[in-house]
This record gives sequence, C-alpha cells and structure tokens, in this order.
Amino acid sequence: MGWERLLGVVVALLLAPLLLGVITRVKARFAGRRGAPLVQPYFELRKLMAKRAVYSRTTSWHFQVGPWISLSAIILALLLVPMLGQIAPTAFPGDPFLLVYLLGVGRLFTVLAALDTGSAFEGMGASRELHFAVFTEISFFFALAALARSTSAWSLSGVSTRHALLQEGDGVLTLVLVGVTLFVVLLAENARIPVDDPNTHLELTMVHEVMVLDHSGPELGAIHYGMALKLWLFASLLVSLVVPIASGSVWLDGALWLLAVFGVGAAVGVVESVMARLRLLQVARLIMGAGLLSVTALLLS
Amino acid sequence: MTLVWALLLLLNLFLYASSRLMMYIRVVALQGLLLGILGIYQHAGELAWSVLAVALLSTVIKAFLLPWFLASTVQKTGIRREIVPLVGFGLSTVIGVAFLALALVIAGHLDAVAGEEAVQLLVVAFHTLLTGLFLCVARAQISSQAIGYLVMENGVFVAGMAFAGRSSVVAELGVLLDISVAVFIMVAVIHHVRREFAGLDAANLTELRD
Repeated sequence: MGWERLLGVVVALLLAPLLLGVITRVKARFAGRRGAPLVQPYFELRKLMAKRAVYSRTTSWHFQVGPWISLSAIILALLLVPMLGQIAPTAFPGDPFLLVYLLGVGRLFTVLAALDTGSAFEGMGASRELHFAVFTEISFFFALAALARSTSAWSLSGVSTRHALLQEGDGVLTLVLVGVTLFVVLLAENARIPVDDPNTHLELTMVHEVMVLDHSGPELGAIHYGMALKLWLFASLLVSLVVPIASGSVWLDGALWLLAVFGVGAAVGVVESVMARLRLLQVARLIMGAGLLSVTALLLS
Repeated sequence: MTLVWALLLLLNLFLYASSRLMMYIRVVALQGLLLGILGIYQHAGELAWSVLAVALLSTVIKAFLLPWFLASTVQKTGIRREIVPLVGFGLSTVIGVAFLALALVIAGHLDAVAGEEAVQLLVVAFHTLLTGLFLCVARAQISSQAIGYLVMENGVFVAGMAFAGRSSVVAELGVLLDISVAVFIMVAVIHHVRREFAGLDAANLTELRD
C-alpha cells in the first residue's frame, strides 16, 4: 500500500469539522446573519475534549465505550473511500458492503449507548434512526449497483477510476439519478434537514440528536467528530463516484475534488435553508423515492 | 434526445408518487410539450409544412389547451388532491418502477419489428401507456382518471411515432379531435358527478340515482 494514498484520510481527519462550519456559514448567510467563524466546530471539539464526562447512575460500560467504537468504525470506513481524486487505501471487489456495515456497526453502538440510558426519549430516537437506516441502506446499495453495472467495477475505487465510461450518452443519466440518490442518502444518514434537524432535540425532531442527549465531555466530542467524519465520508463518495474530475494533473484533481466536497457542503446548507423538515412518515417515502431513481438507472443502464 | 426520453420516463414516475391533481396536469402538459419536440425532431430531415402545422397544433392542444381546461375544472370542483387512492403512493412508485422493467422487456422483444432506434421510443410508449392505465385504475377521483386517459393517449402517440415514423396528417388530426372531444365529455361528466354526489370518488358511481 502506498503511503500517499493515506493522504486523503489524513485530509479527511483534519478538514471534516470545517465542512460542518461551511454548512453553518451558508445557513447563516441565507438567514441574513454573519454566522459563526468557519472553524467554530474545532473550538467546540476542543472545549468538549477538555471537559470531564458525567455519567448517569443507570448507565453501564456500554454508554462509555459506544461513542468511541462508533468513531473508530467511521474512521475504518474512511479507509475504503476514494478521496482527492485518488483510489482509496484499501479497495477490493465488494467493498461497498463492508463500508455500509462498518457504518452499521457505528450506528449499532450509538443506539446501544442510547438505550443504555434507559430514557424513553433516547429509545424513541434510536428507534427512528434505525427505521430510516433500513431505507438508506437499500437506496445506497441500489445506487452502487447502478454504478457497478454501468462501469463493471465492483469496488468504490474501481467505480471512481472508470468514471470516464459514464460521461457519454446514457451514462450521464445514470450519474444524475445516482447523484440524487446519494445526496438524499447523505442528508438522511447525517441527520440533516428534510429528514432530521441537527440543531435541536425537541420532541418533533427526536432522531439523531436525542440519542446523544445524555453524553457529555470527550464522548460527546467523539460523537460530534464522528458525525463530521461521516458527513465528509458521504460527501466524498458523492464527489468521487458522481462528479467527473479529470484534469490530468494530480494536484489540480485534488484541489478540484476538495472544492467539490465543500460544494456539496454548501448544497446541504442551501437545502437546509429552503426546506422544512418532512413529517416522519414522509421521510421513508423520500428515501425510497430517491432509491427508486437508482433502480431506474439500474434498469436503463 | 436521450434527455427528452429520460425526462418523459421520470415524469411518468413522478405521476405515481404525487397526490396533487394540479401536479398531474402540469406533468401531462409538459409531456405534451416534450412529445411535440420529439415529433418535430423525428421529421427534422424533411420538414414538410403540413407536418409542422399538425405538430404545432397538437402541441398547442395537448400542452396548453386541454391542461388549461382540466386545470380550470379542478379549480372549480375544489377537489385538488387524491386523499385516499386505491393504491398508496409508496407502493404506486414501486409499481411504476416495476412497469418500467416490464416496458423494457416488451420493447426488447419488439426490436425486430420496430428497428433498433425505435426501441427507446417503445420503452417510453409502453411505460406511458401503463402509467395512464394505472392512474385510471388505482386513483379514486374521476378527475385523476381523466388525466390518466390523457397520459395513455400520450403513450399511444409515442408508440405511433416508434412504429410508423411518420403518420398521415389526417390520422393525427382525427386523433387530436378525438381526445379533445373525450376531454370535453369527461369534464362535463365530472361536473355532473360533482353536483349529484358532492364528491368525485368513482366508488360513488355504483349507486343508482336519477
């Protein structure tokens, strides 16, 4: 394994919170405010890491290790994602499955930690999170299947390198449809606005935020950092798999790629500013509908 | 042309997922417009004047006149949504994608008859036909069923394009007259049903009244 392939992962670990900052800034601009500094998420992480965690007496060790296992699973998943226009550190046929189930392991431990608190609120959040996950996983697999079928590559990196095949004729259609699916999956997996509201844990939006309500200190920091990495992961997937970047120069490719990832962040910010959260029942329809676009792409390819 | 083709399919899928009658009408209007473009594109080589005139006329009627007429009917009856369709919207969308697979299979079998290039058109034709049929069967409101009829007609139009290449001017004018008359009659029926039953649910029609 070439060490230069790890560069993408290092960049992800360093810049992921900045992507959150970009989203917050776009939302602030839309609302006519100046907004927090772009590096605000880093300040918050530093503050949380310096704090001491508080544990409820009803919790067990699940509650303490959950956030760290989730964070580790997401970092492992990052190793499978092609970034900066290069292939991923690890790639093998079928790696999308490993990616999805690594994220599944992360989700499982967040949910276990939430259930461990014994709070009805967190149980409800956990239930909803898993309910959405059922649909996002199917949609994600269909998107990958459509790409795999039209490029005949079975790994994420393989698809990203055979991208050129898709840039003529019907391939463009596949890219557009799969892009829409992946974007909706990104919104759903990262608890962003039409699916969940990242800013609140009020009753109406008890999904992701309410699950982590009892965590504090470094563990809450780990959860926030994990969410930032997950957002970066999905934005990278969207850019690497769907956006055609091939300028010829490695450095220019990398720069364009980064720009595109932050573009995805800006798009998320715009969506969050112009849309309201959907009713819970409609969320499943939205995600399934997006998945069906990929099924259409699969059928037509 | 792939773009128009894909757009027509996506519009069909949208019809399965939406519950708003005005959206149905807009989709049908857009389909009419796209079909007009497709029709003119098909004859792009030797664009005869009469063909162009008929294409323009049919586009105006299908993309503007009939949709406008249906839209004003929907406004007047005040029933603007499918509230309880016979088949739910989620399941409808899944069925829509299944119909797409079916259309691909059927069109795949017909490539010897219609020729390679026409297969794409045939996929659109069969999918649009099935979509229209589905709207007629699975939506409870009479007005949505009337829109389903227009969608079916669009499907037949595409099929004609795929098989005949160029159809005679007289035949096209005849079809145009037919659908216009059909829509006028359906609108009249919609108003009558609305007056008699205070609603547009097709299930009402099993009751006998004067």
